[in-house]
Amino acid sequence: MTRSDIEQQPLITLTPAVSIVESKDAFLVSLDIPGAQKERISVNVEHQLLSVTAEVPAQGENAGKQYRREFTLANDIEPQSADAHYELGVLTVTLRKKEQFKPKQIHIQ
Amino acid sequence: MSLIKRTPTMELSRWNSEFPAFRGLLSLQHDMNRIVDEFFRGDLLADGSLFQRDWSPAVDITENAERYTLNAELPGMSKEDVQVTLENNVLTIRGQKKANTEQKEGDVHRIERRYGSFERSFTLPATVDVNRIDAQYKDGVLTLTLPKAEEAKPRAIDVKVR
Repeated sequence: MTRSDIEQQPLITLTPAVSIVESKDAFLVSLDIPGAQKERISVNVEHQLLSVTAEVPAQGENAGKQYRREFTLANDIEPQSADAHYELGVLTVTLRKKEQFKPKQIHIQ
Repeated sequence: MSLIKRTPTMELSRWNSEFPAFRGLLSLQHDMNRIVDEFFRGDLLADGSLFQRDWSPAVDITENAERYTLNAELPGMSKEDVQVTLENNVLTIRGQKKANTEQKEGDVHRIERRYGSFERSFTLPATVDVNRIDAQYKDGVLTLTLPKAEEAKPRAIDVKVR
């Protein structure tokens, strides 16, 4: 078994750790994806499914890695509103709520 | 919660990933180690809040003829939150990861990402040239380059035929 045999192997697929926080008007989904390049991260929202894939290229003796995770979205989310941001190895996806699901203050007459 | 804080020291060079068959198991092993670590630490909730418990970053160590390379995954941390020290040939990475404000203010649905302080130590092999150790932090990965001393590098010896 040689070094080049190892390099032929497919990438290791990892499930990134996530935190999901809900604010008044949005859900914030943050995923730990250390070492990825912004260009190699893909975030897709389709049919109420949020899917995130990212690749960390092999570097020196380090094998490449692949991160993949999917989330089913509730129907209170506006799919067009999704917006993603990658900083310090953390990918944050902001999913805004549909207008009718945002909490409202009701005035008492 | 133990009285004395356990700081496991790990041999840098014992790592062996030469067997491709184990490659798929590595990520599983990684997850299992975390679970076992958490279980035996026993202070999942006892040690302050859920956000403040100790954790241990994932580390990859590789070696070639020139150097050892240590990659520690520290997503969400800034350079200022990480400290690398070398003492008696023991390299220690420590730091503190703070929860962001959204997590303090919003409704938390799920938290798998780790927060709080961490510390990991590694005993360096004698072959490392400690004066040339280099540390870089980018995109949540701390990379330590530990060059080998000139005399420790492998070299080919000419066999003379008489």
